[in-house]
Amino acid sequence: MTALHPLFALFIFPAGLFLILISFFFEWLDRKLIARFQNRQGPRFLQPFADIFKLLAKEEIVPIGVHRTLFKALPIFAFACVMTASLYVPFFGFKAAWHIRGDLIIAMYLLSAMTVCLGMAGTNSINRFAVVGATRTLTQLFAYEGPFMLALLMPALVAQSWTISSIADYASNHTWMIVTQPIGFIVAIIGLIGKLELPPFDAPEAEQEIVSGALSEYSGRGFGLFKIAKNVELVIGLALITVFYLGGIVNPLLFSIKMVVLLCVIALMQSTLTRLRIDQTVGLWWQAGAILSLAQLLIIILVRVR
Amino acid sequence: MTDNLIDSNKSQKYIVPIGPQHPALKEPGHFEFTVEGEIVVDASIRLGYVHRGVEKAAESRTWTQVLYLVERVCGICSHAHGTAFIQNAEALAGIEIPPRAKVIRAIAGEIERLHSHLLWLGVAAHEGGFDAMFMYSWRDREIVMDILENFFGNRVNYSVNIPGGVKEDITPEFAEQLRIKLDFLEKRLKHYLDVVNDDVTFRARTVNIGTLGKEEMTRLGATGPTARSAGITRDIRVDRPYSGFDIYPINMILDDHGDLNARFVVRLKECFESIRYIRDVLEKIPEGELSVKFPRKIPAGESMSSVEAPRGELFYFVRSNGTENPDRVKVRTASLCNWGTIVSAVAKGHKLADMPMILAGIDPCFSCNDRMVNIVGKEKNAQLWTWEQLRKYGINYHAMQEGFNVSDCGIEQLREEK
Amino acid sequence: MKLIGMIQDVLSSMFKKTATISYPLKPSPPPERYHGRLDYNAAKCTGCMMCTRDCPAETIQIKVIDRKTKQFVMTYNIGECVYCKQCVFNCKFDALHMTNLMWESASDSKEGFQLYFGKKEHIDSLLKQKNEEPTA
Repeated sequence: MTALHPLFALFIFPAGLFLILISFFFEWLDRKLIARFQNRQGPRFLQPFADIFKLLAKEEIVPIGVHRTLFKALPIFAFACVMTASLYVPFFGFKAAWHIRGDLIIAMYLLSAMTVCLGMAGTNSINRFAVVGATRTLTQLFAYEGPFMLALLMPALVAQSWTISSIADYASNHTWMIVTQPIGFIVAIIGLIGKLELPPFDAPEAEQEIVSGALSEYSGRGFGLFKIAKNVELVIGLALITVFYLGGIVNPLLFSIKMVVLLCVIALMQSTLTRLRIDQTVGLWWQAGAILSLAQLLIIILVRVR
Repeated sequence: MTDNLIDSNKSQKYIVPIGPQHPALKEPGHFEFTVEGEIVVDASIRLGYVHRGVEKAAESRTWTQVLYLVERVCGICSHAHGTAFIQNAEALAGIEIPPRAKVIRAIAGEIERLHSHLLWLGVAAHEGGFDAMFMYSWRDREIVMDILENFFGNRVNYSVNIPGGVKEDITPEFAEQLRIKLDFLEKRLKHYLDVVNDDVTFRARTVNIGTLGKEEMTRLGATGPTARSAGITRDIRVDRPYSGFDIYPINMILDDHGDLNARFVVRLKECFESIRYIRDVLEKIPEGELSVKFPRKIPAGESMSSVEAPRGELFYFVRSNGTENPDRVKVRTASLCNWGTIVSAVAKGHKLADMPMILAGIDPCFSCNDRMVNIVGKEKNAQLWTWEQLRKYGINYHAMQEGFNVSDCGIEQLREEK
Repeated sequence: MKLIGMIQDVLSSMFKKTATISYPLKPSPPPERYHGRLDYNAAKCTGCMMCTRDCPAETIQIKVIDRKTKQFVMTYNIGECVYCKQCVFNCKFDALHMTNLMWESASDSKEGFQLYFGKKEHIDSLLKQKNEEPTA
């Protein structure tokens, strides 16, 4: 498909406003799937829209003793990181709004920066639940980041470029990388669940132990922006994995179907597994995750060298 | 309420308070965990947020009214409270209820045990983040609630007991419906037992967590399924049978690991035993009437009785002085005994992330708890005072402060007049 | 050891009806023995007051209009009542029984919860009397 005018692609479609609206749809689909898996009805279609709208309209309460500017700026900063990362990712069969050399690294860096923003937001609030949540967020970041990045970098190795658009072109023209790199695909999917702090890796946000984790003190507009940022992160993650492992840029309908299938897999894992403790998460990733991704890397190097 | 001795090092460590308002707790209670990193070093507890003055209110109501008052101490074990109280009153009045009523009381108690254990299963799984089991076990619990609603009239606080027997009868249609639903429940419970025994992530959260040995548990006085999960053979239905259990006995379920997983297994197996018991007894309910006449004035005396509530041993003491109202009703519930196992022994050395599941593992019922006052003396010459002594001391002290002699101003007479 | 213990539940629920009851949209009748509103037969009542003596909430009252000709009005507050059925059990003359109606009760005033049973003229006179009393 031909590229659209960059500014239009940036603000309206497919990044920008369209992305935010689609992220509501994905959040609804996620919640509805989990509900159906648990044999209950689940929310109606406009529910996430209503949630975010309500949050954006409510009063924001800043607790005493925190750094006010940082408190108010962090949600905006996190939102900006995620939207900037979406510039380089091709959605729904359209080319990305922008591309420069090495934008895969930039996109991954920006997504990690968002998680660091979460951690900073938690430590900034003096609430002890938030501090414990922030500690767990950052600990989990150290755990899954290595294997997850490797899983995303391996298609780049094979395509011999660090630019997402080139990798996407390579993926469209060759067999699906899920077939050639199955281990990498598994690590990528599970890593995405860890990045988004969904069960079973939602120890940083454990409702039963630490109220709401790093975001305990946030309310109103700041909280709304964090929620939108997390939803957009879900869409970006799904889009990246679909582009890399499931055949690159194709027509929009097929692309959407693939993203929805991936979401079904994630929802299935969410609704059936217990939450792992933070030390079990770190242990799992540093042992199983690292071994699997290194093994995949070794296979690719051997195959390429031969 | 037990108080931990104040430690001078406490102020340097990090205290995480949980409650009284917290998403993990369904009822209010205040816990303070002193943590270093993620390991809990010390724990203390404060209860008393749901104190309603039930024991005092019982002194100004008639025996029948007290029965309904006491049923509402706890929503989940309400039948057990009612049974324990009214057994006392019937013993004091010297009447013997007909065997059909006894067996219907036992059946209602076992159905209540089913619904309480299913509720607990969901809540404990939810505390561990396992929402799938939470939703499914509560969906199956709705079947038990429908049974209770169809035949006793209400989902909680269904008031089967009246002084002298029971109110509602078990008809053959009820028995048939009950059998069909029990078959379905048994299949679902078998499935949950498989999940508890086999699911990898679930076992990672429960095996060898919160382990307490048999000697420790006996020393701390645990009761109910918590004690039986460590191998202590203590069950009121077997040791001192009451109502239907002396006609048709029931078996005790034991496990000897003493950890969190053992508590799940013991409670699930108790559900199976209850289902077997109900099925068995439904065939053999003795014929007869449902209740006998109960006098309005009970002769004076004291009486005690224990009942096996879903959480453990429930103990009632009743004293009557010959009038229409009881003189003193004392309630001691099971959850109070089990707190000691967490606060004194288990909490230290575990991670903060395990705390909610460990707290949920003893099946705490906060509404039942707020009754006991415990005075702990630190020095050897501390004495225990009664209320009268304290009152006298207070009057004398303040009188001396003001500078007049107590016996002069007629305070003694004032007190006699009251 | 299974990796995911509840997998068959979860997958099969996709093809079954949900367990949620769509309550306001679909009618949900109460079971027969449900403890609902009381029903009072003034013709059978003798005014012995046994029902009022054992009510845990002390809410049921029998107002005597004329004892000789057996004119009584029964009143109780459905907000205070605990639906225990002790009054039904105490009545030896079968004047009270409990229906399964009125399980959804809402009112926009406190007086809406006080129910009166009896002949219409007696109830009207009672209400008039109540309104004329000075409020405490």
